[in-house]
Amino acid sequence: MIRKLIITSLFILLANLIILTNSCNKENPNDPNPLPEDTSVNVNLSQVPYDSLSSYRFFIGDIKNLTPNNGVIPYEPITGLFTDYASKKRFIWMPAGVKATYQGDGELLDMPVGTVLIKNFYYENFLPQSVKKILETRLMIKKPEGWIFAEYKWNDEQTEAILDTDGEYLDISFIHNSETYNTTYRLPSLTECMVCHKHYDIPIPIGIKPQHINKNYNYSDAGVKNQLQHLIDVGYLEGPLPNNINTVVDFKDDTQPIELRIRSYLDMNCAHCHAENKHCSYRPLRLAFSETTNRTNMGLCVEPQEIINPSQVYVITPGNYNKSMMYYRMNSVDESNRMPLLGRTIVHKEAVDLLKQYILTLSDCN
Amino acid sequence: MKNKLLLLALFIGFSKAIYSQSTCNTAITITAGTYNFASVNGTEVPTPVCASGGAGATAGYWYKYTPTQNYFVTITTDFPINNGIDNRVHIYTGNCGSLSCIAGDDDSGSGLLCVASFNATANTTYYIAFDNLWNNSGFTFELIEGTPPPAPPVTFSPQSFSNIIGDYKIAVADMNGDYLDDIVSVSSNNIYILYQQNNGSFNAVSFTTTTAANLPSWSMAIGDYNKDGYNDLLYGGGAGVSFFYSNNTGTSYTHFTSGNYVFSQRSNFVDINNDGHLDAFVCHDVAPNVYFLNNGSGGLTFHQGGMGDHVEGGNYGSIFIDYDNDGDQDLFIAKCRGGASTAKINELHRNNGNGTFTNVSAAANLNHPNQTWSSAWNDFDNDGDMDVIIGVTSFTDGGNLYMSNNGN
Repeated sequence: MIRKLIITSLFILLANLIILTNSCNKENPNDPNPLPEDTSVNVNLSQVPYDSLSSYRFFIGDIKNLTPNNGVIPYEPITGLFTDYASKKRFIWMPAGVKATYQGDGELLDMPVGTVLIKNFYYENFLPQSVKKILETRLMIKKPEGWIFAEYKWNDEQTEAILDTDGEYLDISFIHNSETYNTTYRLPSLTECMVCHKHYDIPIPIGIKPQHINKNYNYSDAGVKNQLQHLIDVGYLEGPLPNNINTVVDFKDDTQPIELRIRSYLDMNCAHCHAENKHCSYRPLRLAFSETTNRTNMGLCVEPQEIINPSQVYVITPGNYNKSMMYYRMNSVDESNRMPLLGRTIVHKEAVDLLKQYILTLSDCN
Repeated sequence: MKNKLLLLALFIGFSKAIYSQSTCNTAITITAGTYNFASVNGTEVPTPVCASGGAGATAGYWYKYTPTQNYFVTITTDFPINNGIDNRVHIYTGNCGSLSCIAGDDDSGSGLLCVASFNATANTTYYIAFDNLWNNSGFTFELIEGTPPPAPPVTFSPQSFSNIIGDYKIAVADMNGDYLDDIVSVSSNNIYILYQQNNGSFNAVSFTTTTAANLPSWSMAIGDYNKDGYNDLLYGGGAGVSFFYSNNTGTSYTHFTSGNYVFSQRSNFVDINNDGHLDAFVCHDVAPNVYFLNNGSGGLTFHQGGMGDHVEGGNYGSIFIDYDNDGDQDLFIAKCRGGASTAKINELHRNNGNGTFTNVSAAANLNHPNQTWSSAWNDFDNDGDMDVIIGVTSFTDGGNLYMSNNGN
């Protein structure tokens, strides 16, 4: 009886295999009745990362347009990480039947196994052709054993992106705000991803926290809507959430208080290392949004432990950016002096200006 | 009555409020004592600049001082009453209009206050000028006449080398085997060498190279790994390592990189596998350490593993020393990492003599979690074995250490 069952099972399996084979074999002209091709997102956790970005089918149509497939939801942080003025398009995808849960305003959403975060890096005005060009797509995929990184480098034709785990330098030129920049852009190796994206030695995402995405987004299919609400509505996030989420501001929004703007910027750009229990927690800075309500955590009148130039008396010297180590490091492109350490090769002028304005508002150490 | 009281108060005040003048020529003479003034508003900007911070001041405030005998003079503004003020002082000799710096200071006091000391010679006039580079506020200062500290038995004079060019001026080594140390600086397409001559002068030579894939922004090592009598160079960058090896006349350098990602915090040329050929070790900040084994004909092969394998790295300062007196080079790694990560625990690796190393950190009692960037090894207690001073970059996980080798 058992044997019969096994044989029956084998037959069913075999039949399935034949169907599968047929459905894959699109070239077979003799197949009178082909099954429709699967066009949905394809994330087989036992096989990712795939060699090519297109294999995931995150995007439909011409891949370079980054038009999301069903279930691939765009999102955008309120203040983003600066990476040499690259523009970014971010998406999140989850398998059917699972959803993320809220853990706290400043905590990562607890995302289910199978979640994929997709971040595309591009320039609108890439030289010499003055065209839009996508350089890389970074994925974080949550497998049963935890998050993995996958880095894809786009080809010049913008028809495909290929897995690139070792990192690479690209000499690039682009125009941003009417200014031409030439730099050596870094595609990160997996080890470099890990420097920022970790909690101890466990890989984690950074930006997908309620305090960073609690804002409206103009969805092509759902109109203008709060991003957290949209994630709840599409079934990606368990609702309801608390009513008053402590939220960062857009650092470029000059209607907001300057201190709130700089705190928002420092959180997204620095707090993955300069926070309790992080890569650089042996330094006194604590730059997470929840920690910078205390200005001493931000470095106000705190002496630097590594002296580059004795003129930088404090990390932030009230009223004097020239004597502020934070200003010096954010204004430096020297690999061993600049901050952040990774992710940028040119100075983020708008952020440095904001820091300068902020320092000038401070008159004492309190 | 009120006016009289005020006047009286001024007279018996702790400090002498006097009217100093706004230029060098009109500076007012002071002697030892405490003074104050309301604002740095004199028309003559102190020049040259004798303190850090550079040019940019738009006003000055001038005093002059002529000691009757030799003194060690201190000008200090380091008083609580000055809290919140950021001042700067310049001290000169010479004639107004052609002054020379004797001393100067910006921030040596508490907070942003200045304090400067100098040896003053009897009957010489010194000009003491404050400027407004950082703010215009006046403040209280004191001129103290002290006893000069005893003259040191040996003194040193700075030597300047105006012709050191290149973006990375970080190496001194004998590049041509003439037993004279040379000064080496590099840029992405050049190696600049100041060859020291027998008479102590230097002969500048620039070598054009192909573009370095990695620059020595984090570390540099120099050693003759191709054994041609001319030293070769290792550039440790933030994302990889480049080598420039000499030809056999020391007249050109050729680039080699393996292309592997390495965040090179420190690098060392050392014979790792005891085969008589110089290999290269590179400390990896964020991954297991890497090394390049020399095949004996100058070929280098990349390896990773076996010499400090914490997955998160944390490797900051590698140094090779023979701590167990067995004749081969052992490896100590000063380590650093935030939080509770074990990547911060220092490591000692014993050279087994066959190209392998054993982590003996715990057994040797050198597995400290202190946030360490460097170590200095020497036989500090003169008992025939190497001891170590371990330097921390932060006191979060403990301070500097002196660890004496027990010789067992």
